Amino acid sequence: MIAKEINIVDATDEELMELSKKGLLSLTLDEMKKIREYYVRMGRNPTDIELETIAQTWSEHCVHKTFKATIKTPKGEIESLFKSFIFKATEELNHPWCLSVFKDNAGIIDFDGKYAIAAKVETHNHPTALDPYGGAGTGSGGVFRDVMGVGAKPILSTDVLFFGPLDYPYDKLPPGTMHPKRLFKGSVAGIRDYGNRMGIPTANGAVAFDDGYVGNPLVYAGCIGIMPIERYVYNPKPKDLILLVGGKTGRDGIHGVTFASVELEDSSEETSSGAVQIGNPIKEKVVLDGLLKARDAGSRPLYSAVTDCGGGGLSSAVGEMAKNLGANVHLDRVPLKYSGLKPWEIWISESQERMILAVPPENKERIKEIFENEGCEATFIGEFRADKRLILYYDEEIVGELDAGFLHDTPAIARTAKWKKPKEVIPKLPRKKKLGEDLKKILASPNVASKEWVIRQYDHEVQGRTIVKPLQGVGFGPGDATVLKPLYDSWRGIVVSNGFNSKYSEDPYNMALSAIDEAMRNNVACGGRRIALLDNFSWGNPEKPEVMGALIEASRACYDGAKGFSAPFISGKDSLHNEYVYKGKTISIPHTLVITAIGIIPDVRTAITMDLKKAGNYIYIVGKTYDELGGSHYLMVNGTKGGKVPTVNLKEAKKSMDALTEAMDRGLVASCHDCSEGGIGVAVSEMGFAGGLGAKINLKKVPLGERIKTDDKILFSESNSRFIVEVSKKNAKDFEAVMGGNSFAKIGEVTKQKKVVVRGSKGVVVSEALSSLKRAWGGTIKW
Amino acid sequence: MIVGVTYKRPDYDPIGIMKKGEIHDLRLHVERVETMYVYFIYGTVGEPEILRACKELFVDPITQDFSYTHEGDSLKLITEKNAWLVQVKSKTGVTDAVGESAMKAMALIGIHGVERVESAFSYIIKGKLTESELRTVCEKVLCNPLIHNYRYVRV
Repeated sequence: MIAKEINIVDATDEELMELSKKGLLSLTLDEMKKIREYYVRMGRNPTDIELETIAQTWSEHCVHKTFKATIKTPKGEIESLFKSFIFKATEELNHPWCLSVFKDNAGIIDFDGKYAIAAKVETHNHPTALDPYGGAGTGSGGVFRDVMGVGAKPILSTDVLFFGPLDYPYDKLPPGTMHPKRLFKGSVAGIRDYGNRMGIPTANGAVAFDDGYVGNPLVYAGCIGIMPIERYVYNPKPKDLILLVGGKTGRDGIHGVTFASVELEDSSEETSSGAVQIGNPIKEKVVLDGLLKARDAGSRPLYSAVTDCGGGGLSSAVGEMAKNLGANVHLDRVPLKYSGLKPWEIWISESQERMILAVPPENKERIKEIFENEGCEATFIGEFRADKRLILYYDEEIVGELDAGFLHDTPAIARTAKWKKPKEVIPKLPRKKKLGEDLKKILASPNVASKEWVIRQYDHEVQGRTIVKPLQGVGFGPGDATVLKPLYDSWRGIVVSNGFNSKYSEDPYNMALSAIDEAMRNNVACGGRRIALLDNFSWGNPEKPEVMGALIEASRACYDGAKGFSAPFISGKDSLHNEYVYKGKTISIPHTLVITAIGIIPDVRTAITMDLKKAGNYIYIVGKTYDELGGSHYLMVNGTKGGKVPTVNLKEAKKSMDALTEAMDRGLVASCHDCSEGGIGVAVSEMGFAGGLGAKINLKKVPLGERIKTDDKILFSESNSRFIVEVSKKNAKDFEAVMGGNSFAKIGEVTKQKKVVVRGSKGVVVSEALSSLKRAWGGTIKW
Repeated sequence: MIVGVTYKRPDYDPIGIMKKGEIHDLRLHVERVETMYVYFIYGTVGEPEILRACKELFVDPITQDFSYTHEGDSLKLITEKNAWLVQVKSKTGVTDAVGESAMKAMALIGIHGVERVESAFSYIIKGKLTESELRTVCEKVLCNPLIHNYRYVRV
């Protein structure tokens, strides 16, 4: 017998847990008991491969147990976070343009009636902590395959990265972790090389830094794809063949994350190679080329279904496709990188650049030829059945046999949550007459500072579809969103933006709502509308009630935000257990939710950028400013904390965003920038040096939502739903008419003099040359 | 056959310049870091084919030079004196995408008989570093001990 029989039928509970622990299965006692029950009923013991398959299928990564769990809270039970909040909003909104949501590898929405947009964002946190170059690179490679897995062509790569502070002292680093600077450089290089070499533009993203990410960096890789709607298929049938295309299989990623905590020595080469995933973008490019040819070869695609082979490897890819069918899989036919792999290793290996297709037998020869002509290995490894039995062979011998019904009947888990809103602390701030130095400090703080060093490494032009790029104007200011023109014969465009702010994470409800608002306003600022959202959670250990409580708060905000903006969630992912142990203390990352927004613009020629265009134009602010300095950069540069975290008035926000879109469509807006980290001060400065023009503004004219006594709070409050808008004198009247009924005001004008001048209640508070502001902004991340 | 590709001038070498900066971040000071791409080519390939592969595939003739040897130590391709030489290579079992691509590219330009190509990276470090400092540099800047082996010599 090539497969090993594992005795669980008469194992005690302790022995079951021992087995789960030793075999790195990460199954709970309840789950192990359920498995024992099943095999007692079957009258036999499982083989190693069967147990591994169950562990993979039931893992948090594959089934998102926590988001489906029943949660006990002091206010009663919540059946499932996903169903009660995130998906509920999508369901209630019921937009006809949502073609396939939370079902496939990627969310699919309509583009123009003929084409569809596919979108997906994934985290790749643990692999990146081990090897930033390979980890972040394969994060991109994996998310591209998710989009390819619905038959779409990737046209944009996005990346949002979180690291510890770049100047973190080496001697304080937890043992075994890499320095944030090294993680940062390595991740950027990995994402760069994967996207650039595959010919996919990386043109949207963000980088943020916080102490909480020192031992646990976060990497969110995203991808947007385009496809003809009629070429979407997912209908595998009995007798369809299972085709494995792409890279060879090795020990990559087998229990990789768990291996990471084991001290590795030179002698443990075999195991260490498993811990890290190594990418090969050139290989993925040939998989993509073959796949698109197979998709478009006949009147129908030559395959009946396609999926990415990612986390969980073949076990997950074939297992999912065979869910309602069953399958015979011949593991000995899988092409290997080197000999010596056991059948279970072949079955769960996470080697990169592989995809699985279901192919009707009549297309067998044709599809193989198409892939091989692209230089892509294509191997038939089995066929689908009709009786829901999953049978695994090695050299004609059965090494595992599972019932798909049992396999996909994931045990429900229960979680407990509690949540108490932290007490508000009033921040202590010195009275200041001049705010120029603070402005420069905020511009120079790593989260706000120029990311040009990162952006310039990415090819954001390849494929010739990128219309609005990340750096804008003559002075290369930071754009709000990326605008793509996916089709060569249509002006219709896609607007992609993101939003997050983990500095607000003490108040997870408002943190999440702020992230949604930021993603929305970044999108609207460039001309996007009909917006769909993607949610990506990176959280601490959900077994801790407070952490779970925070997750409920954030999920609640997702529902409210999606409903309020009429922007449904179409895809999402969660990465939990992001914590590390340092000096006996468990440190959890700040709760981090990244929202990706995907909008439509009817004509890319009307897209708006953020650089000031002409001296003499008026500067308006849209939205009210509140005393909301909680988690703000202003408090941070002053070394203090406290205050209220910005919230969102959804009704007002939606109304003013719709009005702003209308003003843009009427051609009344010259430039527009979202007002977020660093508030009005930062937004106006960025618009200034991007356009090479100065600005003078008056804080007394800013519409306030509550009484604010000091100028610094007005200038640096990070209240949501605000935009700085440039309008020509000629259009001012019309603009004001369109915006009527919303909070907005003319606060200043664009000047020829290259200076930003801010007037407060008692005279000028900022008077800084553009060059000195730009120098502050550009000098932090520059190597 | 072992091929080494170096830059004609230190200021053409982006990786060397970056690594020098990263060594400085560790508060260690070196004068210069230069890099060499190394390809180990196994199989029955003659010298004219290797020359062709170097000129057509491995080298940018504007900025780079190459040298090769039939056998022996790849670090011997480096003529520099008074420096630390470090070679970083993937551990067995770690996918070598550069090696695979090099092999494929050689076949595409009509060079046959190549059985396997492995890639590595060598560094020439000029400056006063003790052996233990050099080890720190290797593990914190030049390689990831999880997937790479490294070795060094003083010349």
